[in-house]
Amino acid sequence: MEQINVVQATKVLKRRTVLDHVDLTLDRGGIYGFFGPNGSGKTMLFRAICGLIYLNSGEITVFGEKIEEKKFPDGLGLVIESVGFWNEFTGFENLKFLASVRGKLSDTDIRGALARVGLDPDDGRIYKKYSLGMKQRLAIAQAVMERPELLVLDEPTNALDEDGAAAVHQIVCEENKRGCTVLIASHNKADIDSLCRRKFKMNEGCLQEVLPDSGPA
Amino acid sequence: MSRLHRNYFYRMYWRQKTTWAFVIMTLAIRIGLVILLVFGTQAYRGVDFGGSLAFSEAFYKEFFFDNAMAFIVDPVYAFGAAAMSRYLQDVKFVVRTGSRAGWVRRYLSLSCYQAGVFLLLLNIPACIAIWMMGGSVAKASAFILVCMAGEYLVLVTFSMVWLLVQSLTNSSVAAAAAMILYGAWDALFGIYDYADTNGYLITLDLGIGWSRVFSNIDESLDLSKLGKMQGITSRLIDPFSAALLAGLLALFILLRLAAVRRKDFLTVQEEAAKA
Repeated sequence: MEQINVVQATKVLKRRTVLDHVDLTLDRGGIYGFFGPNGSGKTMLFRAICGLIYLNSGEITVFGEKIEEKKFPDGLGLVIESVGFWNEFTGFENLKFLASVRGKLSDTDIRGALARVGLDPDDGRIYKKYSLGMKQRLAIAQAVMERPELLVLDEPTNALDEDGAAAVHQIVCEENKRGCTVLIASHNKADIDSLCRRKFKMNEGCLQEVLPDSGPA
Repeated sequence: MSRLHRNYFYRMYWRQKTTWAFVIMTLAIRIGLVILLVFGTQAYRGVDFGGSLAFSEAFYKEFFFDNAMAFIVDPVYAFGAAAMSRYLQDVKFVVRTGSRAGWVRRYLSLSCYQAGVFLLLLNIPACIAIWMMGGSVAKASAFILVCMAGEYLVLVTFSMVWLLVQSLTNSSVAAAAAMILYGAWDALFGIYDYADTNGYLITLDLGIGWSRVFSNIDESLDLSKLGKMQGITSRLIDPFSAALLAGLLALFILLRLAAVRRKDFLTVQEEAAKA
């Protein structure tokens, strides 16, 4: 029950198999790394685990809850590829809007989440005026602000400088210490090597675990 | 949905520049119609309509029929729907709604809100125009209210058509085209008279929505033909067509729920790669 189980997950988009009979079992509380070339299927696998795409075949269970076509996992925080927020709102307003959907956070919590990623909660600039790095930090803040059980991070250190990447590493470790399960896809080998207990390689929709003694990732 | 969420939900809507573009476009069309219908009609040439009920109703109707509703109003509403749907399809928002049905509910909530806003924009200039022409808004209020209820159903149905096609195709262009096609069917009368092989005249009414619900309006402006207000209102409504209109809305909501179960939430780049 306390696992993420992916069983024979297959997804075909316009005759192209983006997930090819993927099997995966992950225990709760770990940090898991996924790497592979662009278009190998990492993001699609993450989308499938988050319930954002429907599978042509196969089944996914997240901590005992079957992810069907109609359900998203509870307690999910995610950063998936496009760092899209709403241009007309400030960072604080963007987070407040998202937080209001679940209604679990106070303004103080939201301000704390912003400060945690190195953003000024009182910054009056609208999102449109943010730099790429600031946008990425805001994306991380929205993912962790509600203390998720499952954190799905797709390229979380993209566009971040060294300090920003270090801050993300620290946040991932803190969240994991709290009991959060973290899935990371990254082109940055340092992200995967330094953070992840288990590593998986994706290629053309197929998933393979990279065992510790099978050479460098 | 919490009150906090509702407030932010709608506040977000009004913070978008596209929302304001939508409002300005709608008002421009309605004000254009006021100018056309008020200053370009007989009233401008000194004809006195005397504020009669029949005139007020017929003039109000002018604002929605015979003015290429499908080709003027629908595209503007499609633009508004696109503006509205932009931020609701972000995956960060989507996953927080808990389920796909929950996501559709929030979508529907904003659609209803948007339809209400649009309805006000459509109707306030119409009422001002009746008053400017010497008609009586108060006298025609029953008719106007009935029309507004019909309009509301039609507008929310437009939103559902939009969302349905948008979900199935992930294309705003296809969704807008579908809405306009549906609107054209709805707004144009679609009545065909033809003779069969025996020479009998057959009338085929393909119209749905508006054109059927209010198909019996008397445009003669002849007061002697009109009864009391209650009588006029009931005579104008075809209950079958009104039920059909409501049924269509329900159908589109159900289709929408079914379609969204299979919707893939992909980025624009992923959609492009998929195509």
